[in-house]
Formats: sequence, C-alpha cells, structure tokens
Amino acid sequence: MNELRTIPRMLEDAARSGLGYRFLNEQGDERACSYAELVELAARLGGALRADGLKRGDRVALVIQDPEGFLTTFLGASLAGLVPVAVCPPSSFGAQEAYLATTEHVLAAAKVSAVLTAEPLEAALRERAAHIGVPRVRRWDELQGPALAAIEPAALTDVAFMQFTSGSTAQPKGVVLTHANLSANTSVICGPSGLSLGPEDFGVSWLPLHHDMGLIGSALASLSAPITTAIMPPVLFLKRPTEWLKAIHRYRATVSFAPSFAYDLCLRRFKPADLEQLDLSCWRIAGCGAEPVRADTLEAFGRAFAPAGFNPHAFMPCYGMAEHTLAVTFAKPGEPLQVDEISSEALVVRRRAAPPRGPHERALRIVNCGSPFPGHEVRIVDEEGLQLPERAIGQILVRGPSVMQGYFEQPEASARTLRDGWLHTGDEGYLSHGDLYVCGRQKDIVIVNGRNFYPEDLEWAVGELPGVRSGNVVAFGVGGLGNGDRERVVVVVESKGKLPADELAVEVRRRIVDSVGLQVDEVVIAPAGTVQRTSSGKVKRSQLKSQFESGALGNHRAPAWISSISSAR
Amino acid sequence: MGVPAPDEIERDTLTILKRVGRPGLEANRDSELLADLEFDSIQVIELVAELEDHFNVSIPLNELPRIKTVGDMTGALARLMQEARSTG
Repeated sequence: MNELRTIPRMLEDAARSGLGYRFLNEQGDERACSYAELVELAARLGGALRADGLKRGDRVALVIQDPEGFLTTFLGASLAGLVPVAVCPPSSFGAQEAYLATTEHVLAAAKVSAVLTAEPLEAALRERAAHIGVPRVRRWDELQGPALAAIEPAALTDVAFMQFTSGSTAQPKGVVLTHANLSANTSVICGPSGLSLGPEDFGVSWLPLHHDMGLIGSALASLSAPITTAIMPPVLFLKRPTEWLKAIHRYRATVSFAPSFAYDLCLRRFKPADLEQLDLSCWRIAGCGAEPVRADTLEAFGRAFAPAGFNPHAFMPCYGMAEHTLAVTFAKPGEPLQVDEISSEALVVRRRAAPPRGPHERALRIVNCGSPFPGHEVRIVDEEGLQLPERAIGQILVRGPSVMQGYFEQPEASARTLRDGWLHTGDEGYLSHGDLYVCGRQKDIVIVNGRNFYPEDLEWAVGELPGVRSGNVVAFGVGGLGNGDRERVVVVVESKGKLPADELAVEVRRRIVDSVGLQVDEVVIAPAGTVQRTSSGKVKRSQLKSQFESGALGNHRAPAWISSISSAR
Repeated sequence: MGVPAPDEIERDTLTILKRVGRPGLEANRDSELLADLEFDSIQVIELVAELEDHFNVSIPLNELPRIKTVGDMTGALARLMQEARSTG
C-alpha cells in the first residue's frame, strides 16, 4: 500500500499532475477544471468559511446537487480543517415537506455549524436550520472572503468526513471517517489489487456525490490516483440513461461504476440506433456494486451492448459499504463474471452454499465479488461469532484500515457494530477459494433503485392511520437477491375493520408515497393478531416475511410475482 | 416560437402520461403523480425527459419537489416555456 495521505495533501499532489475533473451540468455542458485550478477555488472557499467564523473541526453540511459545487465545497472545507457532512439533496416529486423533515433530523444529529447549499433550497433550509439552532445557512456560490493563507495542517487521525447514509429517519447514523480511512481505501481502490489505474485511464461517473460510491469510489479515487474523471449529475443519467454510455464513448473512458439497476435502466431504455453511435471497446472496468449484483442483468447488458464493442469481461462486481469507507472486495478486473448456482433450500435450512439437488430446484445465482485487499481481512461467522469454514453461510465481518471510527455520538450502536476491530456488516455471505459471495442482508434495509429504505420509516408513516390498529404494521422487502428480479416492498397492516380493505390499502400506499416517496408493491390487510411481537415489544419482521412468502398470511392470496422470486426464502 | 396554450399543454401531457405511466390508470389534471398514478422515482424522471423532448424545454431537478399533480406539472411547463422564450 502507498503511504497514507490527508485529503489536502492528496489534492496538492494531484494539482501537480496536469489532470483534473470535467464537470457536466444538468444540460450536459462541460467545464474542465484541473486539480491545480481546483486547489485555488477550494482555498478561496475554505478562506470564506473561516472568515464566516467557522473553526477547525467544525462540521458543515453539504446539501448541493451540482457536482462542481459539491466538490469545490467539500475540498474547500477540507483545506480549512472543517469536517464536511454529505447530506442527500431532494430528488422526487411533491415530497418537499417530507424531505425537509428528514433533513432536519440529519442536521440535528450531525450537530453542524453551517449548512452549505444552493439557491432553490436556501430559504426552506434556513427555516429548518433555525428550528434546531444551526446559525449559518449559506449558498456555496455566494461565499466570499480572502483565500486561505495556508492550508490548515491536518493529521491522518483527524476526522475528515461524515456520511449519513445509515440509519432510519428517526435515528440517522453518521459514519465517521478519518483522513487515514479515506486514504487507505482510495489507495487500494486505485492500486494493483484494485483498478490498477494509470495516467492513461479516464473515469466517467454520474453517481451522486452525497453517496459513498460517487464521492469516494469515483471523485476521491480519481484525485488519489490521479486520473481525469468526467462527473455528471445523476439526473442527466436518469433522464437519458444512454447519455452515460455516450459519455464513456466520447471521452474514451476506461473506468465507470454503477449499481445493477443502472445497467438494467440502460437495457430498458436504449434504442437500437444508439448502438451504431457507440464504441464502448475502451471501457476496461464496468464496476457494479452498491446493491446486490444481479448476474442476469449484467449478462443481458453484455449481450445487448456487444455490437457496440462492449467487452463482457469488463464487468467487475464489488462489495462495499459506508462503514468500511467504501470498498471491501473487488472481483478481478478483466475476467469473466463468476456466478455460483446454489440451492436455496441449502442456503436457508443447512446454511451451506451447495449445488441444487436437481433440475427441479430453482437455483440462486450468486456473483463472485472477489477477495479482500492487502491489509484488510474478511471472515464469516455464525450467530455465536465463531468463524465458519468455506462455503458455510454466515455474517460477513471485515477488519483493517478502512473500517470507520464509529457512528457519530452513538456509542451503543458503534459498540454493537465494531467489536475487537471487526466491522459487523449485518450482511450475509460465504467465502469460496478466498473469494466473497454475498447472498443476503441480516439488516432489514430494502433497496429500490439504489435507494435504501428502512422498514421502520414505512411502519411509522402508516402506524397512526385511522383505519389501522395503532402501530400494528410491518414492512419488509422480498426477493431481489441472487436472481434477476428486483426487490419488492410489502406492507402488512392490521385493520380496525371499519374501512373496506381495498380503500385502506389505497390510503396506506398514498401515505407511504407522501412521506418516503416509495411505491409499495403489495399491501396486505390483515386481521387483528397477525403482527407478532418479541418480549421486548419489537415486531417479528422475519417471521411475517416468511409467512408472506409461503402464502400463509391469513387468507391473503400471494401476488403473481411471488412465484418468480426465490422459492424457499 | 410561441408558447402552446394551456389546454394544449395539458392535452399533450396527458397523452404522454398514458404512454409512460402504468396501464389502466386514468389521469386528469388533479391526479397526483405518485399517489394516484403510482409513479416510482425512476419513472418520474423518465416522464420529465419525455416532456422535455416533447415541449423542447428543460425542467430542472429543483422544480420537482414542488410538483405534486398533473396540473402542477403543466403549470411548471407553461412557466418554463415562457421564461425560455423571454430570455432566449
């Protein structure tokens, strides 16, 4: 591994390379910004933040959609010795109030001294910040002041960044990372056991910068290598998915990452005529992570874009999480996808990755996500914490220099997650020949189109509806792992019996859309007594989930899609 | 180029909604895109792209949180087209 560096040091080193970012705006217009120019812009912004009264170690929230604005502000705060906190900007229809309520929770939990944002959000955020006593809300593009006279000296052990992608709305959890964490992870991403980046490489990313894969995996890795990376706003990709592929073609880019759903979106929205305009033979590494890697999707993408020169060996499945800075494992670049077909019965009952018993049993297709990086360890343990042999399924644990310091001011959650240096991921999987296969989550998160949803948030949203027996609601995700289908969202509510079931179901859907912006796939209206609780009063979510999957939930008929997901789960 | 009349914007928007939206759900100007027409977060953006192409106007992302119904959308379209014409 290379010598560890602070973020300001990484930026100064990159400034001597002659390379930089190409920022695209929402309309797709490009602005080239060398790392040398970026140092100057960031130093001016950092100086303005200090002149505004912010002190070394103060936390500042970044709620900025525009990639150039986000990165200039992030690096400016870093040069000034402040701790940037990435906060998700709004992105959906008609959910302004719910978004602002969530954001207020995050700002309060992060105890920020300032909120840095842009024009359309400024007024609404100022009102929210006033509720919780945050003294400053500033537009990043209006910050004026003398440039920093000198870059604030930072130690590797200083906190460099906080990320709020974990935890439910009611209890957001801030992942605390030091400069050493960021440096350790970006250097293994870029290095010979990762992407082996050289100055001839070129990155393209549309991933949101408030998310670890966009910020650390693309923007900071690009700075660390350094290479040139074109960064476009997510909405440009979401509106016209082939713009992503066209950017790879135009820049002759070699590296670009995305979750499975993005490859799927390209498949659904490309037109045959696009293929004639695309030459994707330059694309050396097509990374895939952030949500379960779906082999069927990648294989279909490989076939569809082969006429445009896409090499299916470019696919590089990976596994990672914010609590581990980002990357945990990468599959070997340049090799074919390795897919393990395993019996779902063996997975659930025997907790072993074994081949299906015969052609009648539906196999789960689990993708090889590669082996841990130098200096990092992965092990699989059972419920008692005992290490398991190869091909036994248990919880994935990770140890090494990329593991976070903890959750911000949450000693109990931190102590549960970090034990003896081991990060307890809550995900489950197995090792085979030292490579990691991820086959499920112990955590209850539901992932839809790359966004994480917490069942507690859905349950809370509908728990007090007039037709619902107060608090007797359970939400969970079904499917989406180890096969081609996406994850479905199911909500079970106990009815008071006053409203017809179909009317109550409509109300439940509407309330969840309004409060969390998610379309529920199935609402089950159940009689009193359906929702079971543990002795400590927690709902037995996994029990209801298996009842639902086996069709044993009251007189509810399972929806048609249930047969298309794994049979035994 | 002039800005289309409000009922023309509404008619075209409803036609596009029929194509992009979930089959069998009838839309009118008071329909809420998420709650009534069951759009998910990806379809929302797909709809925006279709409307941009059709009306030759750019709908910035920061408009979306204030748009709840079909009527909000057509109102925003009319305003954005008006603004584009007066500055362009």
